[in-house]
Amino acid sequence: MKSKIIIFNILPLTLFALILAVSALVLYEVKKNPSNQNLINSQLIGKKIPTIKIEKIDFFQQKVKDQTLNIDKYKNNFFAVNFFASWCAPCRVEAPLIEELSKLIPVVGIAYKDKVKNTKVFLEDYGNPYDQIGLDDFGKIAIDWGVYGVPETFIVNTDGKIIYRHAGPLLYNVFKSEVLPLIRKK
Amino acid sequence: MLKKLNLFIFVFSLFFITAQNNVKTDYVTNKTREIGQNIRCLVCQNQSIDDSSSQIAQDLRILIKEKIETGSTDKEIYEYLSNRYGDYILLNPPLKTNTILLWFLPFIILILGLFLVMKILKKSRFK
Repeated sequence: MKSKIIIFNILPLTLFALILAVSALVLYEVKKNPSNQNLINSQLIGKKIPTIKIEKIDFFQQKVKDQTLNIDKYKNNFFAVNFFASWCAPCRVEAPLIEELSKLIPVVGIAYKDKVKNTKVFLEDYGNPYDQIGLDDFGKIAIDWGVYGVPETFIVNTDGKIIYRHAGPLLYNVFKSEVLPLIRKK
Repeated sequence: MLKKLNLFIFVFSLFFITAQNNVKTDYVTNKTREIGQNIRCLVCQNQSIDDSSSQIAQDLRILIKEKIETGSTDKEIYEYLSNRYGDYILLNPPLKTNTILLWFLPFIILILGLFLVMKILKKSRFK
């Protein structure tokens, strides 16, 4: 009888402690590694890149050229894919770091739901770090890449597989702690 | 008389064609809405893409509609989306090893609760 009383007193308390411990652990993980706050992890990590059949922007003609992006030229090389838009404020924030990234590996820019003339002004103002730029005017390419907002940055390795995705503006601490080690490893 | 009958048949068949067309578009619209109700709008606070008017929700609705029109099955559409956005995009989480607790914890708690209630009732009867 006595042991039963003990169980009834202790059981709820232990349960409560357990719940507290689990919550604390989750909170600690999130605090320790801010990128875990990205609730939606990319499903494409470790997978081959989706095909990018996308019209290339040619600024000399000030319109989309009847030509698709050439991705094959990066074969056996690292490269990055950056979804951006001239109307997207965080894209302006990350512009200097995309510039930094482009000094290390070629960056393919994909203008998401943008107008060519606006993209042009944006790149004149913030610099053009892109090796090639494609126009995703209906956001279809973005969906194929699992993008749910701009900016998003992907890094593709020598096998043509996506090894990293960052959703949101690429900030210096993320660039230094997550992106640089990946590129140095190559 | 025959002329009138012919005309009548002609007009009637026109109605029939448009009606059939309507049935088809109704099917696509309903199916798109049905699937959309099970797809999470990723940039909203717990809304389905059927409820949301955000850009990405609109784009996904168009994509789903096109997929239905080209004959994709429901399963193929759900797979297409979860392969790109993860199971998080499905408002009904699938039964997997990491979601077993989510599905069965309520039942476990219910059984535990019943057990407790029975114990307490038994105890009070003794007194």
